[in-house]
Amino acid sequence: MTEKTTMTTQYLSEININIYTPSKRLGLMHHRSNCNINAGTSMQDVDVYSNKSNAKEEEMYDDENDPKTQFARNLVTPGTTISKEGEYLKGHGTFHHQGSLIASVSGVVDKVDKLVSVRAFHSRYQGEIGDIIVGRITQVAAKRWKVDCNARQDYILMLTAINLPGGIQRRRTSSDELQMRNFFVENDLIYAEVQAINGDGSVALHTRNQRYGKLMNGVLVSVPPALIKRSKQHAHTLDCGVDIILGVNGYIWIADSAQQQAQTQLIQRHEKDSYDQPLFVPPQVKQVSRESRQKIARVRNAIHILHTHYMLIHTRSIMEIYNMTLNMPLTDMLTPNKARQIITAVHTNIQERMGFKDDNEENDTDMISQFNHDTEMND
Amino acid sequence: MVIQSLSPSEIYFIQQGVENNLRNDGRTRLDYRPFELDIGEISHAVGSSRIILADTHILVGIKADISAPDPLTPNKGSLTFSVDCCPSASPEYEGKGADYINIELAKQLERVMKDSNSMDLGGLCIMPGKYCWNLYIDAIVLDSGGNLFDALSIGVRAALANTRLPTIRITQGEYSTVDFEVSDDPEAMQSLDIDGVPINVTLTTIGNQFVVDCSGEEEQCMDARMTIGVNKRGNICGIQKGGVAGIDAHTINQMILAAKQVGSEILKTMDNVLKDHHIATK
Repeated sequence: MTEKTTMTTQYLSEININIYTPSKRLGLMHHRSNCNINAGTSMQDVDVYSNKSNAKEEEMYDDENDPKTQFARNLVTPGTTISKEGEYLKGHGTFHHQGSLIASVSGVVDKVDKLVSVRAFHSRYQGEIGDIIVGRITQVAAKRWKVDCNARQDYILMLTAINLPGGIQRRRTSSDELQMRNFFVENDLIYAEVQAINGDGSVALHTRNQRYGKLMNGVLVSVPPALIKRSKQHAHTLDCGVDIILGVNGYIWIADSAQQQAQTQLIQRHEKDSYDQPLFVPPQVKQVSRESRQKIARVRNAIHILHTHYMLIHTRSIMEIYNMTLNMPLTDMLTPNKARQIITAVHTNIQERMGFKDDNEENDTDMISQFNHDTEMND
Repeated sequence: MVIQSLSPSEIYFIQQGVENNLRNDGRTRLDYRPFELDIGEISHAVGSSRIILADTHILVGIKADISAPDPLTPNKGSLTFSVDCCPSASPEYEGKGADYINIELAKQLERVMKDSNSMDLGGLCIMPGKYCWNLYIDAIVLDSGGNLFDALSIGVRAALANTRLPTIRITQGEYSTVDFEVSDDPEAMQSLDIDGVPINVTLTTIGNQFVVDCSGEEEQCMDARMTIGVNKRGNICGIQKGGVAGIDAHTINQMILAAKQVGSEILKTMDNVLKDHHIATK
């Protein structure tokens, strides 16, 4: 049976069925084809780095401000020749074949001195010291919690690496060990920081800061870790009154600002007065109004749109979509056609703003980073 | 997408959202998620479809062969269902766990599609009592993001709509043998009447309310669920209850009404799209 055409139908905002055909889905974005490769050179022969003369390479680096060029230069698919063998050191995601260094995954090329590696778009999270993450407790073990962080293995949160209630500093006794479930139980969400990477590859977390700890009364969204850039700040309060925590591991926590504040105050008071009692959050503190829920849902859907279109997620891109969709019913944001329109509009806005680059340069560099899928450390 | 267990506070948040008639993704209780159907992708199957409902991803293929009909129903063809949940879709489908779910899903489909007699299987009969078409409907759950029952039934319905069987003429051979004459004209294919084929609408109770089209997270907050098969004529073709909590009679009535309403909307939209698709490919 080869009946293949494309069609779209919409039932109000509620039921939306698209019929797709296989050929349609191949229409992926191919930035690469229109900028980097000179006409006439076949894919096989193009050597992204070394075949070109040094002068040419210099020129390419000068182009760094143009996000498209930069994006195209860094993007490789499996089988793309990166350089000749021996010119660079072989890193993750690359292999030698017939005298050349070839990418084995699709992603962005990362070069540190002579070491070339390819960071895959769809990969698991790999912790680095100081990363701020959101994780979920999977297991309570001896003196430690196992935490799922969207990584290859569960990360470890030691009993000694948490803040005791009331902030007291003391040795953890065996009675603390027996009461570990008073702090975190299985499936709890936590907000933590990567403390150390051990020699055997396991990663230790810590929550020794007032702001870290258990996350309650909100929504968790999971996105590929490559979509979240490491930056100075990961916990934000958006202008619309929504708190978000963009975990570097791709877990995003969304909650209502006012509710979270009330909750934090309650917890702080509890820790000061009666930290030996189990914490009880009364329903009126847990209450989130319908209006706040709408805002949370809108932020969630904005992140969802960014995720499905593989765009970098940060407060600016979220708010861009949030403000754009203010007059749109929330369910419309879920339909693929509307989402595509929104993304197109976002791209147009970015381009317009980049046209006035001299006026407000600082804002623009932020927006450029939307195109730039490089998740390098900012600082 | 692998969905892990939720923390008590997340469950509370979802419950309160359902109570407020605003779910985490901005839908109201009776809103359905948009879904996509790919039709006729498997060229070796007589009919196929793929449904993508948010993260739920199901592939349905139909294979046909000729066999003797059931002696009790000599004028009808038969349907055989099988569902296979990929272990990559969710950790609960790994090893033995998948068997229970596979059987539950396949059995439910069989009850609602075949045992309800809502679908006209007379068209599958080639020679009464002797030969009929047997359709093997195989579904693979590639990814799970909630609401498998509904997605499966919609996928199966679309695959049935896409099914084309070769036209067969029977001629009397020598003595008591019969000869099959399969038409070699690719245009002369026989399609099925899917008018009566039902789809499932699963209503899940969360707290005091019920919702349609649960996401994976919401399914974890489930108290009880009712899977109700409805067809275009507004008939109820099967009801199956799942989950641990009880449902009172009044709620069941409300659920059936809601299922009819939601089901007929989906069917109407779906049939329009399928019809357009059919005309466009002719």
